[in-house]
Amino acid sequence: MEDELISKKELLEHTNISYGQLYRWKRKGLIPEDWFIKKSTYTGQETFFPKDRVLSRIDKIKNMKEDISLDELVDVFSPVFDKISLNVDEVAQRNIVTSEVLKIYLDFNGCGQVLDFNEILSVFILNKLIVSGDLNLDEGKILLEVLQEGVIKFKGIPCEVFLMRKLGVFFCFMASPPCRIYHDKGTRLIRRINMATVIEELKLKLI
Amino acid sequence: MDKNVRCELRINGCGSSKGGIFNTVKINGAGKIIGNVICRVFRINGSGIINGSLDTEDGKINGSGIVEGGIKAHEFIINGSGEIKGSIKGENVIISGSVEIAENLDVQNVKIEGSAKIGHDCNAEIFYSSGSFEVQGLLNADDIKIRLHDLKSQVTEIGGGKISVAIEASAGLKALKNTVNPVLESEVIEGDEIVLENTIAKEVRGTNVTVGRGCEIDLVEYKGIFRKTGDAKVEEERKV
Repeated sequence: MEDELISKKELLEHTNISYGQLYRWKRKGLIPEDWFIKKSTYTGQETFFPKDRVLSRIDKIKNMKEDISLDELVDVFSPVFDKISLNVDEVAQRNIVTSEVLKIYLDFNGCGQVLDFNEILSVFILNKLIVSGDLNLDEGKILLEVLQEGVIKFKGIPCEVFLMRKLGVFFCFMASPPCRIYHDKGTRLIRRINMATVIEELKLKLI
Repeated sequence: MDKNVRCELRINGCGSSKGGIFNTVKINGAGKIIGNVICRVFRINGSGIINGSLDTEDGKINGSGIVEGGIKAHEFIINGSGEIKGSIKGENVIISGSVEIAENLDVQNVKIEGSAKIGHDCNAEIFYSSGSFEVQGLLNADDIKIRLHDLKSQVTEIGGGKISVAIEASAGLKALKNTVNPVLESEVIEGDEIVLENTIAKEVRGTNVTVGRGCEIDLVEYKGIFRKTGDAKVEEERKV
């Protein structure tokens, strides 16, 4: 489950960015502090990054740089919850979630006509999992309950959602990385969702 | 809150007050404020202690000031001595006296003319020092200009765009007479354009690197041009 790492030198070579750019993005928070992993090597200390995440992030920064400013980008990548709220119809119209899943969510939650960012996020995650067939409806409700309180409890700090099933019984929990989990053989990890990644994905849809 | 009804807090002589939201806060003499302070103008002339955090547009410590929490400021000037137990976040910070910051210094522009000790990292767009400083963590700025006078500066890591370290002319003269030896020490220095003098570092990595007089570097890695001038000592150089 551990991410593959890439050293700073390899990263600069691979992405063709300069030290100045890397440090600027770090300063702006475009590359999160906890992605800079210090490790001792035989040549001294070196900095490593989680390979897949940092490469995809840099790719996005490079591709978007031209149309939006760095400061606007910061908002996209920050795991802090936005003050965005959307009308229920808009959520379906803008293809953020399918109308079926939205209906399930509204039945469950019984909220009004406007969804705030956390609610959009919950239904967005639910949509992903139901569409992919990882969860059924009842399981989705359990997930929603966890998400609802979890996003408030973890407000602002990076966290992940773990979805598991044992003997057909579904359960899920949230944890803040870096963490490793170990479970018995009968338990199956269905999905491990990084909230920051989903938030980023959602924000791109909301722009 | 309506800005017009903000009042003024002034301690003349010796006194203490609760925190709160003010227009101006002035301590002339010795004063202690218990609680967080939000104000437009903040001045300490004499000695002051804030038992909380400070949020101001325009702050100045002439004398001595202790802030138990963090400082958020648009402009902040420390002319005497300052001790900040949290971080300083802001736009422009000028340190002409001496300051100790327990956590981070996160600003747009910082100018150190006196001495500064920073417990964690220093993040800025423009970093200028003609004094001395100690950064326990990373000094990260787009434009770093360090002028060495007669004291040692120390930092664990430096990263940024343009990094230049030079001996101030007058200090150079003193150095010739062997009275002082101003030097910058850093484990790692990484940037795009690096020009160094009197710097001791294990590793220097950059696009274009110039290592000048008084430098002792274990390893230089460069992408573009590498230059060595004066009596610089470089153990190993590598083009990558």
